[in-house]
Amino acid sequence: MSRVHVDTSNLSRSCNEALILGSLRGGARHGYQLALEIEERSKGMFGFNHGTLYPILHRLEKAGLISGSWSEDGGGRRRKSYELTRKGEKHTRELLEAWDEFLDAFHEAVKGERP
Amino acid sequence: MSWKRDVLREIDARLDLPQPARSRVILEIAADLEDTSRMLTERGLSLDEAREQATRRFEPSGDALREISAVHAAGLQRFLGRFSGASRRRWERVLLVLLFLFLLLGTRVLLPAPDLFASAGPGLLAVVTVTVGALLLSALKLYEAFVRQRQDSRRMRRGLDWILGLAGVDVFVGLSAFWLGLYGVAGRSTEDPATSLLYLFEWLVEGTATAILALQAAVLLSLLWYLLSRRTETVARFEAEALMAAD
Repeated sequence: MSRVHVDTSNLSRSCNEALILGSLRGGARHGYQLALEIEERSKGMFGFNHGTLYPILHRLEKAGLISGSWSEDGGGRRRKSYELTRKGEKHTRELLEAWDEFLDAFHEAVKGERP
Repeated sequence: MSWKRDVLREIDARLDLPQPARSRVILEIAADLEDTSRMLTERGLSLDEAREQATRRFEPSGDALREISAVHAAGLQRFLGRFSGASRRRWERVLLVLLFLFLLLGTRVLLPAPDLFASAGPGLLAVVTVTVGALLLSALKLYEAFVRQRQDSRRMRRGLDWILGLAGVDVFVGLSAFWLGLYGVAGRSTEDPATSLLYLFEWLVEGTATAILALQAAVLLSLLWYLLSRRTETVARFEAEALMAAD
């Protein structure tokens, strides 16, 4: 059993966090890139309103799981991108394992087996 | 009319956050809003459709904005959040006036008493070194903010908290010197009890002189930090407003 657990009392939030952390395993991303990537990879199943995205990103940043850094593009415009910290990498590994266990248990409960 | 302005203004109006966190959030959203719209036009949408879709994606919900505020609010901010903005500003002014009076009073006591510097103990050297360093940094920041009138809040903020940190070091050094002096006196008194009273008076003069000078330096540095922080916040607010006005 992994140490990190899926927070079943707030599944929506827990799911969003896992989606964001999982996406960031591919490298640093801007907020809008994260939202689009999740939407595309899930074939539209998980659509992020950006209003929902920022509180999660900022909460994860405050928890030290991701770090945000500002950069300037050629036109002098500042943009913020996020990447996983070492603590975040470990947490994400454990969280995704926890989600696997959660989904196994869910399928076991509703269907008797995982498809 | 700017298409971005309405979205950002709405966020700004509903976001209960102090500067500079407020400007940073708006800056981040503004950049993402622009990028989303550009990406949608690259995918074949017309400019109007892309802007409309991007705006819809960024439409902030009250819960989301409250959550952002909750994430960024420190304990002190949560406490201050109970007071209205006007009330907070009024108390800030009162505090500033009190600090200036304290400094003026201190200067009036210090200037006619140069002996205070001569009486201070060896901790004074550390206090002077730290204070001179912090004053040089403050002078540089003041020059950037008020002479060159730099309009880049991120750059202005860089190193600013060092001034406050060094003020804290002054307080630490002053108070440590005071109590370490007492420890030394206690040791010497044990060895030679006959002169213990003399040592005690020496410590009182040295220790209090050092502590007073260290506290005065800390108050001066704190005032400079406050002045520069307010200026930086003002610049950050202008940046956010300019962003909202930009098309």
